[in-house]
Amino acid sequence: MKEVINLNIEKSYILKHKIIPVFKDLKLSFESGKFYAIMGHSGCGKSTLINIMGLLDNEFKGEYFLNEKNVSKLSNKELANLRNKEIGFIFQEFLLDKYLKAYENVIFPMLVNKDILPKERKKRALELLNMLGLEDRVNHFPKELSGGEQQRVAIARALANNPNIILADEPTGDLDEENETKIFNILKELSKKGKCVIVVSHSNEVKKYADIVYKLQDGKIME
Amino acid sequence: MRFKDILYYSLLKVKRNKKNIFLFIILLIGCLTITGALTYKSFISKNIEYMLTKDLSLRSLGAMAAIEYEGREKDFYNEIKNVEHVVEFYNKSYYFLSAPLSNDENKTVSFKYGTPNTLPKKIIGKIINSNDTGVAVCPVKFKDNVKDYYETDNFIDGKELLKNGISINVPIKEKIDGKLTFSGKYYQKKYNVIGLYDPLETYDNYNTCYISASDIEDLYETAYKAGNGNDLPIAHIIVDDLKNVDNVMQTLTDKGFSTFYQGVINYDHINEVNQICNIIIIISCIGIFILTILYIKKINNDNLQNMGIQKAYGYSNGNIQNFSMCELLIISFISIFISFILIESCYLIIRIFFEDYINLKDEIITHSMLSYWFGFLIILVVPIITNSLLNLFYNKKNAINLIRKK
Repeated sequence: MKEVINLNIEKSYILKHKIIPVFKDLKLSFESGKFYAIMGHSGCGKSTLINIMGLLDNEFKGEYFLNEKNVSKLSNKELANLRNKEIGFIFQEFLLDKYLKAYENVIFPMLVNKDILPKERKKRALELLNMLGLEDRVNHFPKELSGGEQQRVAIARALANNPNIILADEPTGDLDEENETKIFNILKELSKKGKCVIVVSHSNEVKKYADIVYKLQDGKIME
Repeated sequence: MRFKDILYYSLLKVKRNKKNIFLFIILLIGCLTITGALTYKSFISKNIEYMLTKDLSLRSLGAMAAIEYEGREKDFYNEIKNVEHVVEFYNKSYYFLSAPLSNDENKTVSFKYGTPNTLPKKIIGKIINSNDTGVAVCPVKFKDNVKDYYETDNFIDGKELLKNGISINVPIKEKIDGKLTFSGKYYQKKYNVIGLYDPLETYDNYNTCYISASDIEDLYETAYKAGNGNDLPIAHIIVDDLKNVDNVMQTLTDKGFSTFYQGVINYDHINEVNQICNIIIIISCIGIFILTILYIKKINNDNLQNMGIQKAYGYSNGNIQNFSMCELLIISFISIFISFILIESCYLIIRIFFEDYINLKDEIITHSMLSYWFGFLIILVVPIITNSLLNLFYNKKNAINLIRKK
């Protein structure tokens, strides 16, 4: 187990000249090989937290170490590079490119990763899709896939550059129970293989799979 | 990111996104309209340029004698002779005569006054000298009946005329008790065709032959004079250069002669046409610009989440812009290619099927490459500008806002 994320941050928004605090002295750490769930009521800042952890929001006070690197001092280009190699994102609405086939969607993050050679891309994409039980769906477009299949393609895409961290924002929000179970099982397997899996979810089902559940309330974490 | 990858994935998306047909149609119509209008302007400009150098009628004037010259034709012509820049003049009645052919009275040949100053500049064969008689210079493709203008198989090869010559049979009319009647006699003559010319070079009809001054005078005086009144003499005058026409006209007018241009370019009409073309071009450019912005905006709005994902996965603003730009340029190039094919096909169709109906030289109805380049440039530049402007807006948004379509 290795610490991959260490946060000690403060975050607030300015709205109509008023300062609205989101987090105050928020201290969190995440390790590889574990499945974390972050829960809380709507508007408590779950998505804000995941955006900061995913290096999509750089406007905060404090320090954020990702793989022992202080990311608050990095340029936008360095942050983009780090996102590409270290973090895989999964979203509620799947967000696959409807004009690309399943394997082409998986290849997409690899296009800006110079460490993966062009001739290796398709092979890697097919391996990932096979691993997720989609060997018969590699040439299908998103509209030809079920919700569960689309989310599995999104997971394969998140794994394209073999990141250490998987950030999932409500990954089962648009799925039925059966598919929800499948997706959580996949994420659990990934954590067992050494990934740091962080899931933001409203669903209580996630507690069955999570090693650690964080509750976000009033800008603070309750474990 | 490799250019190959950008190109490959852009091509894939262009091919698979059926909505791109709208942008393709906008750009195609815009390209055709702009190129078409520019080509037409170029055609008019070339036509004028050609006419100014080749059409003798633009260097020709007519002058009617003042009343005091009645019965004094020689003095009238002497006055004209002394005017600077006048190179040729003769009785206007000798300028152009139509005569029925001896083998068929329904078919005609038109004769024009043939001297070194009036003959076409390019003649295959011999020219007519001032002492010649019984000779003619005729078109390389002769049509003996201009009424059947659209029947293309009525052309006679000029080489046949060189062999056989051309013969006329004109009924001579006479005035009896003020009435014009057939005298019972015919003016018959055969002309040996000694040279051939291209009537498209001189803006002549396909049945116009040039004969010597003495021959046309003889024909008029014998067969046609009776049909004309004894009006004041009118001279047909040829000026040495286009730039001197107005001066000569003024000089003749100052002498009290009623002067008129033989050939005039209607610049008002031409300016009107040019203005219409300019308006079409401007409207097309503005139209393409607005429609392209609206289309790209719509596409980008549909694509916001995708852009957000790309940013989330480490794509820079430059990478994202390169993809959208590449897609647009592919569509632009396809539009350019198709419009080029369509325009070239039109030219081919005109040349192949309507060649004999169009009384213009190839170099006038040929297309201007500048028209193409300008049309193509607009089709390339407009998407680049509109995409760049819109991307300035999207570049500022972070990935999460794009994913949430804010």
